[in-house]
Order: sequence, then structure tokens, then C-alpha cells
Amino acid sequence: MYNKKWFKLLVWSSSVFFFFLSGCVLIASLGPSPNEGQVHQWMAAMMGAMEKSLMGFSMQLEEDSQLAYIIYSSGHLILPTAIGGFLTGLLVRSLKTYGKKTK
Amino acid sequence: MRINLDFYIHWIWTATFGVLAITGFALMGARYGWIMNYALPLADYLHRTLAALFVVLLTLSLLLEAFRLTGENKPAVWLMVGTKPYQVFTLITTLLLVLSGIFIWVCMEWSAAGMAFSMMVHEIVSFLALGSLIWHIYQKAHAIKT
Repeated sequence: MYNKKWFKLLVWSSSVFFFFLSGCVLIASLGPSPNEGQVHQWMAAMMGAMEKSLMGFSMQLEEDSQLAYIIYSSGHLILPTAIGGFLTGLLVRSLKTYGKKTK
Repeated sequence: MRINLDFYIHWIWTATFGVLAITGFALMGARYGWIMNYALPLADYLHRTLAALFVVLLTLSLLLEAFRLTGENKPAVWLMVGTKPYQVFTLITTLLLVLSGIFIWVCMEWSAAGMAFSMMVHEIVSFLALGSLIWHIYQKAHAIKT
């Protein structure tokens, strides 16, 4: 598979994309700070996102008290579930290690 | 030539992460907005939609790894999560991005301090993830050399 043309094209295209993105991020990070016009342009675009996109929609959902209660209640389940999952993973791993040693 | 599920997950994950990264950096601040020519409504819509797909991919990868470890333990070399060091790093960064992203999405109006902390975590981890991805490309480049 590694010698197939489509695979090499896939790898090269994704690599070039990420290299260009990293270059843009480096240029933006190490370059000059944005000027007033760029800041206003970004803020105006963010206001547009709040009006037209899912950002504004999610802000309206937060005003729904029933949904807020559901989200808050489900948050209490997350920590015990995450801890239980982690401990289960450790248990499975230790059982497999024990199974290999006793063979 | 047999292509396994982990291969598909790897490349769908790569494409999803690529779009999440470019839209996320554009949304980060005025310093980075030019990356997407300040088209922030589109960036926001794409970022939130693909974030949901990213969570699905993470869940699928975790299930696949769990089945692999508890079953016949066949190698899944393309899987993003696993026991190798970079797989563990990917798992940790992905979980941090997903959890902080959920907090940003849900708690925009509730807690300003929580929102600020989540955004800080989300931004720092995204820089780390992008940097580690460049390293990953270099590390695996030998595979396609003729």
C-alpha cells in the first residue's frame, strides 16, 4: 500500500496542508500585532458569527432553563463515569498481563 | 490489499482535525483571523459541526482499541489511540480539546472564569497538537520513501 500512487498523494497533500497551516500560525504568532482595522474586522466577523451561526444558537439555548438543568445534571454523571472507565481499563489491562504471565 | 477500519479512522480523523485546526485558529483572535480571510460565521459553523464528528471518531477509536485489547489483540497500526507514547499523547490532547470545547460551547453565558480557563486550555493544547503533528509527519516519512 505504501508504494501506491493514491496513498503517496494522500500523504503528501495532508502533509503540505499541515505544513502550510503551521507556517501561517508561526507567521501570525511571531509577526506584528494586528492593527486597529484588523481587530475591528475580526470583531465584526465574530458578531456576524453570533448572528448567523451556531454560536448565537447555542447562546439562546443557554436561556432555556429546562435544558440548562439537564446539562447541569448530566455533568454530575461525567466524573464518576470517567473514573469508572479509567479503573475498568486498568483492571482489563492487569487481567491481560496476569493472563500472559500464567500461560 | 486489505484496508482495515483503523486506516479509515486515521485519515478521516486527519481531515477532520485539519479543518478543525484551520477554523479554530481563525476563531482564536484577530492575530489569526486572516488565515480564513475573517470568514468567521463559516469558520464557527464548520468548527462546531466537525467537533461533533471528532467526538464520534474519538468514541469509535476508543471502542476499537478496547475490543482489540480484550479480544484477539490484532495489531492496529493506524489507530490514533493506543499504548504507544504518541498514541497516549494524542488521546490526552484529544480529551482535553473535547472537554474544554464542550465547556466553551455550553457555558458561554454561565461562567466567565470557567470559559476563560477552557479557552486557555483549548488554545494551548491546539498549539501542542499542531506541533506534535509536524513531528509525527517527519517521524513517519520514511514509510513512503522509495
